[in-house]
Amino acid sequence: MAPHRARGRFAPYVVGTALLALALVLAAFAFGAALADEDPWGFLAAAGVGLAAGLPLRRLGRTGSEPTRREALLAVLSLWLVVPLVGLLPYVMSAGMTPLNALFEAMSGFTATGATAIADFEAVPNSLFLFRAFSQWVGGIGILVLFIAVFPQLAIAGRQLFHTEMPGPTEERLTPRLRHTAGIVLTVYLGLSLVCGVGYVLAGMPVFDAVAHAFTTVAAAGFSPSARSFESYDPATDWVALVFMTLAAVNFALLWRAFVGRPRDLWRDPELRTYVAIVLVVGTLVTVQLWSLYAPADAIRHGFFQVVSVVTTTGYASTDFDAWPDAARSLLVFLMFVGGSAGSAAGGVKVARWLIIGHHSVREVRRALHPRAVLPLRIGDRRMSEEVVRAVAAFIGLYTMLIAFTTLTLAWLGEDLTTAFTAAAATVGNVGPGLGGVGPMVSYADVHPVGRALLIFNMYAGRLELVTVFVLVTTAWWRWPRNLGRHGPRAGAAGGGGDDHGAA
Amino acid sequence: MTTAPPDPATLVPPPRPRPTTGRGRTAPFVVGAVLIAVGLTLAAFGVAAWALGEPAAGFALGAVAGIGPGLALRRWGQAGAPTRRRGEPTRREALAALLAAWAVVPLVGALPFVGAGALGPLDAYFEAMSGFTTTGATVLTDFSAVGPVLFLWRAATQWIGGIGIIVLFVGLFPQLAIAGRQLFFAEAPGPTEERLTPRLRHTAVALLSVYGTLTAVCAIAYAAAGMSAYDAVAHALTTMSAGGFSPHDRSFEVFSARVMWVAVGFMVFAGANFALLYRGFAGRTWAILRDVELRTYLAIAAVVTTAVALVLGLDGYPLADAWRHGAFQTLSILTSTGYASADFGAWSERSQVLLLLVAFVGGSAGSAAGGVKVARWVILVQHTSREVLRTLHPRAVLPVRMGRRVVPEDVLRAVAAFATLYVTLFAFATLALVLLGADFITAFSAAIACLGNIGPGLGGVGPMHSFAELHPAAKAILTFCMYAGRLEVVTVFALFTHGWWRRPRLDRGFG
Repeated sequence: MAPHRARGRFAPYVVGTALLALALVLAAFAFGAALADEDPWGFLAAAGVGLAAGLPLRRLGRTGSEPTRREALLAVLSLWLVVPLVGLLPYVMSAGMTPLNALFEAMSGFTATGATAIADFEAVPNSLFLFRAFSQWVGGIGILVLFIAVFPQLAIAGRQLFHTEMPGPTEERLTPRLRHTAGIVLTVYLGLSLVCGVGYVLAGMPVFDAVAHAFTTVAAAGFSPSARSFESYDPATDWVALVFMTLAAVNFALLWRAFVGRPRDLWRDPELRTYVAIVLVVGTLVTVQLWSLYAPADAIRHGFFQVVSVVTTTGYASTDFDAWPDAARSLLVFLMFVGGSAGSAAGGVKVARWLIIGHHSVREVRRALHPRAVLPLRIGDRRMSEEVVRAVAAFIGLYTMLIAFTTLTLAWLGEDLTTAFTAAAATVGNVGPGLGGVGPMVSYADVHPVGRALLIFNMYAGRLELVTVFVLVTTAWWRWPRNLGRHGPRAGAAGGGGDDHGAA
Repeated sequence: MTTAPPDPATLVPPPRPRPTTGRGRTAPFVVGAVLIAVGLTLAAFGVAAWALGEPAAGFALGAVAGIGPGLALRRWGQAGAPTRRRGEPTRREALAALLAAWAVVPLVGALPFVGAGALGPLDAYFEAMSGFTTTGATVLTDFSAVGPVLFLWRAATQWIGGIGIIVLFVGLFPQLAIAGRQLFFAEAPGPTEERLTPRLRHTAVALLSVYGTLTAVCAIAYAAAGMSAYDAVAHALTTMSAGGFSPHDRSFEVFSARVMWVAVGFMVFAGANFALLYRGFAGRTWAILRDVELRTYLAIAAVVTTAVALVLGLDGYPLADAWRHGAFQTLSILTSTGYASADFGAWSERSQVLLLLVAFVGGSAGSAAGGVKVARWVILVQHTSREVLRTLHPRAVLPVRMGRRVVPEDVLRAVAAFATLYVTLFAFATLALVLLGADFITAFSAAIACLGNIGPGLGGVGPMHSFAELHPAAKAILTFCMYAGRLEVVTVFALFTHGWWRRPRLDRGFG
């Protein structure tokens, strides 16, 4: 346990540091904007706010001691709230967006969602487009570190499962481990971004667009400076995007191992195999639906591009898929719920969780026949603990309930069913575009303001694995920390937990 | 193993050495007995049809097809279990019996529809499955081509299916620990520690008394509210079973407001736990209101009714009509009955969304209602909020409670798996329907309407339409959904496991 005096000081430190870094980046963007004869004041104002808020926060905070679970959660929760709040200023000042739309755009950026509230792409300067892409790229890094290092340690939503999977010392405390993991993830991430950008240029994209798209491809995010997304580029770029989107939704720890010389691990991974199988099967099904609409080569390209774009929760569009037949659209909606791999910046439920819950369900079916059978749950050669199964089931329950609630609310606010349902799924799953009124070639700007506020919350909650956000509405969170000792240290009572390596 | 040498004089085969020889014969015995009962019922309907000048050939054929094979199966089943007391069925036999019963009985029950020339074979099976699973989805398009006796038979299938399912849910599944049901009926009527068969008989009699009484009262109330005697009986049969078939193609739209309110009242009963109602009628009337599931069920009904009424009011209905349609449609979908007091397929989408959500809730676990069931939702929601709390306190001991009872972990596990299988089957059915050419709303609502045993959906399968225009393969899928949804999904999927098909010997170790 942490020394008492340091309590409550970790979150300000983290948020302060992040704000200072953001201020630096924003200053650089202001400089770039000035050079390109664009309006730098939005960036400057945001940099000023970041600096003004970041400095005192950082001074207030302490990092000397190991943070408690509550502090770590608080840091994560406030980080993804405060950074978009500062990052919305350029949208308001340089593109004339309303504060709500600007927050929508900023949240969509830092959560790597890709849903846009920009109705008029002409009014947005290039520097802002680049910042918008960059926010997704930065958000992607944050999410990766969160998913691969922080959440496994905190046993969030079944992620303790991946705890042992990461390279690096396992028995260590949070902070040094975090640094180690972040280094590895960043290496893979940077490498992929670089190669992706070069690939886009080689396929015929202008350099600016190539950079902007590379940022949002590897983050599985989906912002594009073009109002018609990938439709406005050469078909060759679609194939480049397809490859890198696929890679961006693979477990980064696995990619790292493949790069350092163990590529065979890739094919032994059950999650990757399932992910590839889903892409191939659904891609084929969608292509068949498109066969009568396009030339064969285009049908294959559009079919697989859109399937990969949605399953990885990127959200690019190679064409207006909202105009496709219902069967193809439904398949895409189905994919929104699948999501990418658990160790990537992709959103959705994640393939690994579906594997776990699927195996669990099959096990329970077998128990209908043999109620007392001892049936351990295995994914690949790893055994899942009951805590992981429980947490995954609750995660999926929460996910479904939030989507149901959002659909209901949006429908009440006047959206049609398709729009309401897909908007809910696309934001909770951090996909980006939905269908109907929030389709790939339309923006979220026309949704009722209350609906937009709810969708902002969805992006935020979906990104932070829901349970972390919903813990805020429990009474236990708001109780005075001292009281929690009653529950906290009752070690081993229910098994599982933060320092427990779930996949024992 | 020593057997006495056979006695050539009497030609009686030697008694089998082990008492386990009865194994594997429960299913034929049960299915045979049920078929005979259905065959006899069909014969009675056949006589009535003949007397009223309706086509009776289908009924006669059904009676023959029920009684003939029924007798044979029953004999075969009996032959295997010389002393019935010794042949306590195993878990696999019990499951096989009910899986077979719900697949075979609709085959026989479909014959009158074919015989009357009203439907083709696949459609007739769909209609009969919709009946015996108390779903209420129909493929009839021309209601004027069907006579009153056939309509009454259609209603009777739901009534028979209803009592079958209630006995199953309250008497058998808790014993077999299917889909978390071991939790719900610890207080089911009847002795607790007894063996399966006598206990089941006791429970069945108790439930049948409640079910029968309520049906009779319902019919009288309908008649008093202004329905013709025939309509009153036909609708009472499908109200108490949460079925939803109506002899009128516009369902309850043709009746007066008073009749609709009577239906609302009895649908509330039909969606409640019948084991609880039994206790209520047995004198402990107020004790049942302490039941968590009943309270939640009533609360959901009240809240959603208010919300739907509000929307309808905003959409321009007069206040009294808004309340009436709101209550009627909410209860009709929540209890998975599926009556329509108006064409809710033509309502605004914000009211339809509410009905769609309610379709996933379902009635109480001890009723003939379909859906996930209120009790399971109570458990799931608590389980989820517990896991949220665990985010903060991973080692906290937080029991999930149902009333005053702590829910064991194996029930939690089973309920989570049930919900997953349910949603997965629903998603795949939706996709399959869309791939077969249905539009999204039709496919989505048809899948949940059949899996949840509700009946009508929205769009192309709305309350004033029928399922007839769907692709034949889609109808087959939906037939399976009704079947699987009715038998709690898990039991049906057990058929697809490797373990089911292994030789019986191997599962003895597990009991």
